[in-house]
Amino acid sequence: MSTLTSGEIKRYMEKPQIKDRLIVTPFLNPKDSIDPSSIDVRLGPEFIIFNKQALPFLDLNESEEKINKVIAKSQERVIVNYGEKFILHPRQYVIGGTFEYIKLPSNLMCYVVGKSTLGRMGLIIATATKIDPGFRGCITLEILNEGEVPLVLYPGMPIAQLVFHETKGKAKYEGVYDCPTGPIFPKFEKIKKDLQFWIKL
Amino acid sequence: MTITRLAEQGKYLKYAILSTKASKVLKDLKNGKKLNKEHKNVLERGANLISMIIEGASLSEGNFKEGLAPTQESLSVFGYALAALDGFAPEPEIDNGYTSFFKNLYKELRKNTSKNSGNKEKITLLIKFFDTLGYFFRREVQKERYWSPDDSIITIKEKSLNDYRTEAIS
Amino acid sequence: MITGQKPLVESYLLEISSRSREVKKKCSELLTLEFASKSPKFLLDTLIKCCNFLENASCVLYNSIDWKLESKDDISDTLTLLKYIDFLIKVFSSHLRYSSGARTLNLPWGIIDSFEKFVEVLLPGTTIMFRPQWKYNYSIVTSDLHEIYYNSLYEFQDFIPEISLENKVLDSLPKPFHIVSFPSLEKENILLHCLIGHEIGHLFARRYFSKEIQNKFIKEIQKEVIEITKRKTSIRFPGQKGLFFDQMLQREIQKELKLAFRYWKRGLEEILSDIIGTLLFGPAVLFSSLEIALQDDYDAIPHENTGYYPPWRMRLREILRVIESPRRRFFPLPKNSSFSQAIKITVSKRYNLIKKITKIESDLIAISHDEIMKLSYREIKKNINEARKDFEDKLKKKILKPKDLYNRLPELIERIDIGIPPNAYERKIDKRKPASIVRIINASWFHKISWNIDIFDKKGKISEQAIHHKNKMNRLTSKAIEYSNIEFEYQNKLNTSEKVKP
Repeated sequence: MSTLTSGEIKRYMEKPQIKDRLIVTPFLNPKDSIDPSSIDVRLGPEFIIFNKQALPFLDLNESEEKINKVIAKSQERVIVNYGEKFILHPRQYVIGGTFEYIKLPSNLMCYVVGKSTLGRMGLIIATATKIDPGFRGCITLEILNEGEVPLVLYPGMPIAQLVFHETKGKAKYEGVYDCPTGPIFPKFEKIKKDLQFWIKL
Repeated sequence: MTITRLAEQGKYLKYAILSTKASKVLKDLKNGKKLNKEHKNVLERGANLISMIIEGASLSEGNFKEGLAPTQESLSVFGYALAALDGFAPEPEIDNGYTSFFKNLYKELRKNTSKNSGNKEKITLLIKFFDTLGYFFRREVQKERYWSPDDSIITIKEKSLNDYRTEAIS
Repeated sequence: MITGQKPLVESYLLEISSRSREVKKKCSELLTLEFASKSPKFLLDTLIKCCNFLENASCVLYNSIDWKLESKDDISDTLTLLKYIDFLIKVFSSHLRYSSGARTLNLPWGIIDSFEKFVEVLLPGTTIMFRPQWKYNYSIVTSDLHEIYYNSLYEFQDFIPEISLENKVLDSLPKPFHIVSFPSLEKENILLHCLIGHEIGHLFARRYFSKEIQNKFIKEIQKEVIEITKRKTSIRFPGQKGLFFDQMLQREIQKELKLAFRYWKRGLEEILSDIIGTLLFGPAVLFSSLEIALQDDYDAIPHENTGYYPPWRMRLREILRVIESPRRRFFPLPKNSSFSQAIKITVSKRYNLIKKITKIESDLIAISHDEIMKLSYREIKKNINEARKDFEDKLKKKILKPKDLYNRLPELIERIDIGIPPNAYERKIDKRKPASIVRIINASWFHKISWNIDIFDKKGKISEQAIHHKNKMNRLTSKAIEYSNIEFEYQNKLNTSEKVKP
């Protein structure tokens, strides 16, 4: 499984047929955003924050209706205007998303990797999230401040990198997230069926 | 009151307040008080209001003059002035038409403003006019407070300010 | 003085003051919340200052009462003025809902900044504030809110001349300031929001109604209205003469003139706004107007209950006239364009359907049954042509041209077709260009008209897939507008060699 270098990334982004093209949009600064073997992506303006006091626990064994109720009660969706601050306190965990909308052709997959500059300040971004071939949407990011000081995040700031790999063969996207344009809390349909076995064992 | 309604009715609110102030100043004048600059400004604005009424009256009486620029507002204000005259008891004599009547009222007011005094009978008439005019403007502005959502469905119109028809609209 | 009057008036003054402070407290609380733009905060700041002003005026008024003189009139007039102050404070408190409703999560956040900038380009110096309303309607307060508040407070300046309304009370509120409302139910229906173009059209349309134009209208119809009214009144009261009849006739004439004016002004205003919206947004307005018209009666004649709106059929007819203007024909689609066959067929079908609807003249027949309405609409017909030339002159380069729209529209439509926001032309990453809000919305409309998703499932129920697809299309359109707006700003602020125009 080969990693795409900058030249290959560009080639994929300029393929004549849109279905074969890698799309990362809007690509505001192509010169600076393409690294030797990755693309920088920015932080989106939407966040999901958690109201711990409203969340007793999350048990995936519960009915979908109950899980949805718990989620609705304990989560808050926040939109931060461009130019405004979002402060992430130590040990605070939020769900964010990429600013860019990504479309992967059926023979490319990618990993989301944090930026080392931010990592050294304690900011953890989605430990090696894998994005399947054929995915379209803004990538949901799990953001955690493992540092000792509150961090100020600004929508639009570079936050992560995408590392692309060519797959052997083509794959059809079968994920549950269809063209998300902001962060999405997980859907548990797929996990639940399998989980039933282990709970009833 | 929504912003849209305030945009439409706001001028009537302004006229309502102006009418009350004009009436107050005229009462002071009647009681022998001297008018200061602010009082005279109030009466000036009162006179401007009457001149708008004259515009509306001229139009209604078919005396459209070239150069005269009547607007929907002057027509409306004339309507309120008619309602105000209705409220007089006994009703004033309108021998030569409404335009003439209001022109005389205007002249009297201008006289009082410049001379700092006036005929007590005429001042009383002006006070009465502004009092009742203010009342009708006030009632229009406060209409929303008493509006019921069903009105738009049943809509049996009563004899109200500017509408003398009685209609049932389904 | 009526015994006990003074304590009662004092008590009332305290109530007025409490109400004012409650409004200020609520404004301060709201100012700590999130808004998509600064406009709602301008309004809240202003409401605080207005309440301060009125509270001061009420104290001055109260202190002006000379209780020793025992003048009943003096107290009664001052009490009336205090009631007006109280009334205004209550009115301002009801305006809190405009800002409170405009909080970020209540709005289609992604498009707000874009539309605000769109208006700023069209009408420099104009500030607009978007907010949802429960009523199912798009509307705009065409009067400048700054001016509205100024007029409301004007007569109280006399009492506190040292506080300038412009410099100390209304300084936080930009001038002009307009509020645009959209139906809360349609918050996510981005495609319908191109009707905001019609609302923006109102800001142009109202400038058309100069005193001269109004004067001209009155001059044209006055004699006929008087004759019609005389005839109608004589029929209702046959054989009546004398002073009472003359006075009643005057009132009827006043009413009918006012009604004629209302038919004319409202009808013309709405049609002119449609025309301007269409000049700016092109076919998208035609398609979105049809969707709204479908919800109503095509031939509903103007009436007080319907806000004197002109019939929808007439409105569609006038919008179509703009679309079919000889200098700017949008249909049929250019033969050499790269639109797919599906687009060409389906969009043409929709266009032809609208032509069929507007060819029927049942609306004109309905209007002709009312003599006064017929007069007013006769004048509207004359005014439309004259006004359109005037607007075309004023809008010039901002008018959408078919060549410019269709140039790379297929590229944007292709993006939505495969589930990507139609925000940019980016076949070459070094030569990418953001698309404008007008092109994005048109691309989405073309996509919507041409999609071939079955809206029913196998069981004959509304398909979840169809609902999902519609929602997805709206989200992608909203995202595209958000992206395009940011990209234009990014490119312009980072001083790239080519300044990009939205």
